[in-house]
Amino acid sequence: MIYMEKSQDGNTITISLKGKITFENTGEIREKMKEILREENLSHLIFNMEEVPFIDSSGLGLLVSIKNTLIRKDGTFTLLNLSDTVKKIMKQTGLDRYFGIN
Amino acid sequence: MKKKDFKIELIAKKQNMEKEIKKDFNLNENFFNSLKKNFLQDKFTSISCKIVQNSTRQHIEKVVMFFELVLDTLEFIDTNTKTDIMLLISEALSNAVYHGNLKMPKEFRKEKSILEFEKHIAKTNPQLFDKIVKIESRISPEEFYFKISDSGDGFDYTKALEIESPPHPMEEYGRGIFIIKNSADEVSFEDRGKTLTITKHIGG
Repeated sequence: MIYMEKSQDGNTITISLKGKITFENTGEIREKMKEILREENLSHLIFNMEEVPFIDSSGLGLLVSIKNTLIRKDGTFTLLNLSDTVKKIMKQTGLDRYFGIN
Repeated sequence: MKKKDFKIELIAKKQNMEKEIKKDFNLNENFFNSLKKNFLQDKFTSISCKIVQNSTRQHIEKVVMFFELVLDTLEFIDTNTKTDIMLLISEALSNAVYHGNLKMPKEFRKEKSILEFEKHIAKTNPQLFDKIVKIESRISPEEFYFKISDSGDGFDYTKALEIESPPHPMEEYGRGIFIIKNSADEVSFEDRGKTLTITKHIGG
């Protein structure tokens, strides 16, 4: 199960996620994000990942797809508060730099 | 295959104990309560299991959760090792079910959700969910061994085995096999790609 909570401040939208992001739920997240990504004045999207303990290749693909969409819109997509496990997985797949993660 | 044949056969060893503990769990029933109550309270030194599951989400979720629970009870598994093993299981299992058995077309991965794909199968070809995945696994202080076989048509795995570096960061797909290769010490395919065997060394 994945829980998503949206908050908005001007042209910045923050989504707080709770749960693993894996092949079992990336489709649902993608569905929910479609609408948000369509919003015209969205220029900064933030995922608060504090309560995401795990991610697999399908979840990584989803994050990349969202990042690509935001880049096309001249916007930004930032991941905040990554758990050590998710950080490790992103480093392993060379995505840490693309997402500006230390 | 009859419903009651979907099961997990567990064999566990305890320190200073000659005898192995054997237990069978039925995947369709009250699996977690009986697993927690009857099995996972002990501290084991090694665990082996054989799993026969179908291709439904319920079984996938149970199997993933089963491994997570088991790993948490093993003292020799640290956080990093647990992450690697959970990645290996997650990637191998989703490949076996969604690519091997259910043959999910690319447009579903891209545009739609797995839920939608499952609804589509339920309407058009529900027998696909009966397709079996078999797993044999062993976790000891020395190594994690995981062998998974699907009932699909197989695939050309030679290219998959050649992958040495992760896909370009802007690429949406293709990280699964890289993650498997990168997190494991040995990876091999048999039976035209329908069987994948993974070994990861644990002990120093």
